[in-house]
Amino acid sequence: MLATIDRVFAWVTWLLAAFAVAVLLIGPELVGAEKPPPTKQAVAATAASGKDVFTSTCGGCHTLADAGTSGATGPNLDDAAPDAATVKAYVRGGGGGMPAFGDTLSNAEIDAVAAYVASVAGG
Amino acid sequence: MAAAAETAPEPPRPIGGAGVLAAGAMGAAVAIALGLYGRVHEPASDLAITLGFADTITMKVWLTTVAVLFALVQVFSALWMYGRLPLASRPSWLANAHRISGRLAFLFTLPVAYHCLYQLAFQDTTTRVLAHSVLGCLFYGAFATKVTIIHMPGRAGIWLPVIGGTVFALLVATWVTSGLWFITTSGIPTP
Repeated sequence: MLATIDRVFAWVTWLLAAFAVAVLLIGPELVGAEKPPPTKQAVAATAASGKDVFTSTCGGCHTLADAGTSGATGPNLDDAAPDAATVKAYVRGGGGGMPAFGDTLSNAEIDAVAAYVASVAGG
Repeated sequence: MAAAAETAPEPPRPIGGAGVLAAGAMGAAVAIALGLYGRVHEPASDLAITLGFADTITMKVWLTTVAVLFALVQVFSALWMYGRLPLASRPSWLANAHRISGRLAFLFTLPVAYHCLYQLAFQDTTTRVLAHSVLGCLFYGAFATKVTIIHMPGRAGIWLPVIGGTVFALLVATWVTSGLWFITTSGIPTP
């Protein structure tokens, strides 16, 4: 019984591994999934949501007047007025006690929230 | 007696150094190919794979954790097969169970690796992220080396537990820098 399962699993394993490689090379539309837009387009499409991302993810720890948040765990961003690259680096990789969000936010969300913070902080 | 000795099949010869090097080269090629793919591929933005979980990150944490559990079964069954556990002589199903657990561990990593490579690509923003990227590539390279050695004619000898242990260590290290890191920083995600 186990030997039969083992043989079946051998085929299943190789078929799925080959499928994974094929989807990597061709893209998720191979299985009918909508291919996500390239990063730059995605940023444009989600720029308006930068404020939403900030409010739901960052506002608990940071103060930012435009977003109406008053978190005090991290730096006051109206005072710090970071540029987009700085925000992006911290959101992706964390640092100074702030956890990284590179695995939990999409690239588009990170770009959007960075653009948003840089555009309104200190303003 | 002498006739029996003459007709007994010869034990398989051990895999030579060239074979081990070839298997290692195969694994290196796989690891480098994955790393290069992750480096040149433009990360996708909104690719969501959930497979029934609440969200993508939850799926990744759970699947990798289950993969590690199956890998632990692999190690346990391997130790049993090699007579390193104080247990009765190995049952007939042990080898099959060992292989099935290994295949399941590998299968559970596939959706995770696909999302990592296609959505996030190879990243080096922090030491943890860089380590995770490198370890993930090395894991699949070591896995390819192990599979190559298993399918080579001849006796793998010491090389099999060595590469098997390496595959296990790399899987655990990859999980520690992602799944376990997420659990320790954000808690166990609800499936």
